[in-house]
Amino acid sequence: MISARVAEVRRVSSTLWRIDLELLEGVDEPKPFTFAMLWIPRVDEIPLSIAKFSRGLVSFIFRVRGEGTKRLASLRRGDFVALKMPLGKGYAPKPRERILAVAGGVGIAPIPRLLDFCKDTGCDVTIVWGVRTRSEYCDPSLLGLDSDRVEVASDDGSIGFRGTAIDLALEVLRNQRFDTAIAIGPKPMLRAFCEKVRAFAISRALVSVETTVKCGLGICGSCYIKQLPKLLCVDGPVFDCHEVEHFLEIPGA
Amino acid sequence: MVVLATEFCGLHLRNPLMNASGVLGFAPEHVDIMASWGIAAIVTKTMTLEPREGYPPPIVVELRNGGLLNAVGLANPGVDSIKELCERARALGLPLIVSVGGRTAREFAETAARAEDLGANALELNLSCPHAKGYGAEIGRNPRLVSEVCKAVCSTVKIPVVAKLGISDKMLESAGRALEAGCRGLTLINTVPAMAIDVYSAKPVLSNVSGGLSGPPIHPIAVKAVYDTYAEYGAEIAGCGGVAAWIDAAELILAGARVVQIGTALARGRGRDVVSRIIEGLASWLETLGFRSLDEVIGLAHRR
Repeated sequence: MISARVAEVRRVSSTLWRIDLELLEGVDEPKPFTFAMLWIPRVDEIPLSIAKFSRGLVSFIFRVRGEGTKRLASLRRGDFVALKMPLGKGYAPKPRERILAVAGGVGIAPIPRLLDFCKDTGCDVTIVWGVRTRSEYCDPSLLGLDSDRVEVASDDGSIGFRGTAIDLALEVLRNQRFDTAIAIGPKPMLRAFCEKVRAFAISRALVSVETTVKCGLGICGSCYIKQLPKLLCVDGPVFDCHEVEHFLEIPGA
Repeated sequence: MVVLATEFCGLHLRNPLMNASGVLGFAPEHVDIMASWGIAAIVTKTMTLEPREGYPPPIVVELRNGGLLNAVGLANPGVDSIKELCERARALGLPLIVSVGGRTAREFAETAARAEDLGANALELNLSCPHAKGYGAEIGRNPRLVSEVCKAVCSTVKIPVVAKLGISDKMLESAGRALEAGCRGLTLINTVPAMAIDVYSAKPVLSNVSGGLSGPPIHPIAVKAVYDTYAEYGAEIAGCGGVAAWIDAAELILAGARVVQIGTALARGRGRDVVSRIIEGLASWLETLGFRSLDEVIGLAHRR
């Protein structure tokens, strides 16, 4: 585990938090969509997408869901935590690859890292972000998402396009060509994405999925993917739509 | 061409490698993953009569010395779940060894009987897990209890039974009692009691505070445990502890192991690479020494 010190924790919208950590040891540069197991001493160890990474700093965007994330949100500057990172294969687009990234809610978490990676290597990202309502939204710069190409949708139309992230993504797909479309968000959204994206001529349809991760090291087996000889913590969390067909059918978020 | 195929407690194995219990092993998907690594038999996670939740994370941490520390707490979906595992392993042509855990001789025997009914090819009795209260090492370091448990199981099932023991001052005695009670072989060793403390928060890292150490740091301990036990009983032994390369496996075989189990080295998706390298390495080592089969070198370090 890599020790880290909390630099800042702030609430950026009604549902989203951002935590910045100062790394006390060197780590491998994380590919987009890789994740960390963040240990809050004597509280919990939780899997989180890596949102930002630069010069000894790593950031995470999260939602308060259980005891662990509640305690994460209440950490103060100077508190110590530790990380296993980067975990998983993630997804590193090729130079010049044109990517449509579709995020639902807190699914926006790994997108800043994707954008930073593409700025360095020359891939091209268009971002669609869906929220339920305006209060869940925040200025993308607060997430470290420095792009004028974030298209926003809200279920109630209180900000941006009225409709889901998928509805808006389909609009974008009708008008623009992409090599890859990647979605991240709740299971029903990913199911809809995989089903509807088939109508478009893109070479890869990918989803970044979530499941119980306990060890993060490919040993405990908690994060196996239904009917697939793969583990999320080793091979994921990004999979081709066709690989996770059965996994996405299992009820739950 | 050298022969790596071997037999362990009546199981025909295409090579001498299997996973150590605890690495995956409770879902059919795990069986598929492990089969793709090229091991000759699959050992399940320790199964108990009833499902066990196990400990909350952190349950496994990597250490700076190359070792791995774990306290998973015998998390498992209960012995009934092995039905699917057996079916999958059978379809793949791989023997499935079910690791069995329990607190009493009766619980062991009941779980073992269930495992046999559901299709297990052999059983490995967990008498050595160092981090679950009432289970494992608490029994294994007490030769009288080892005897009780092994007798209860061996008089109940017909399939081969292997006792997995850990390092303790009673290991040799417990090994003898297990063999006397009818166990066909031994697995040596389990993880070694250990702990890690985070120096910034000044807190123990594992949720269970302490756990078991595995990986390269325990390999020499395993070599001695196998060597001493083989010298005493000449038993069939599955050597386990810190095997990451063929040379580690070779050492255990020279000490007296018939087969070798790999655990920590299989982490982070490295299974296929690690297993294929060990198999290639063992084959060329035997050629270098001028032997035709693995059987010829088992316990060779004892020859005077």
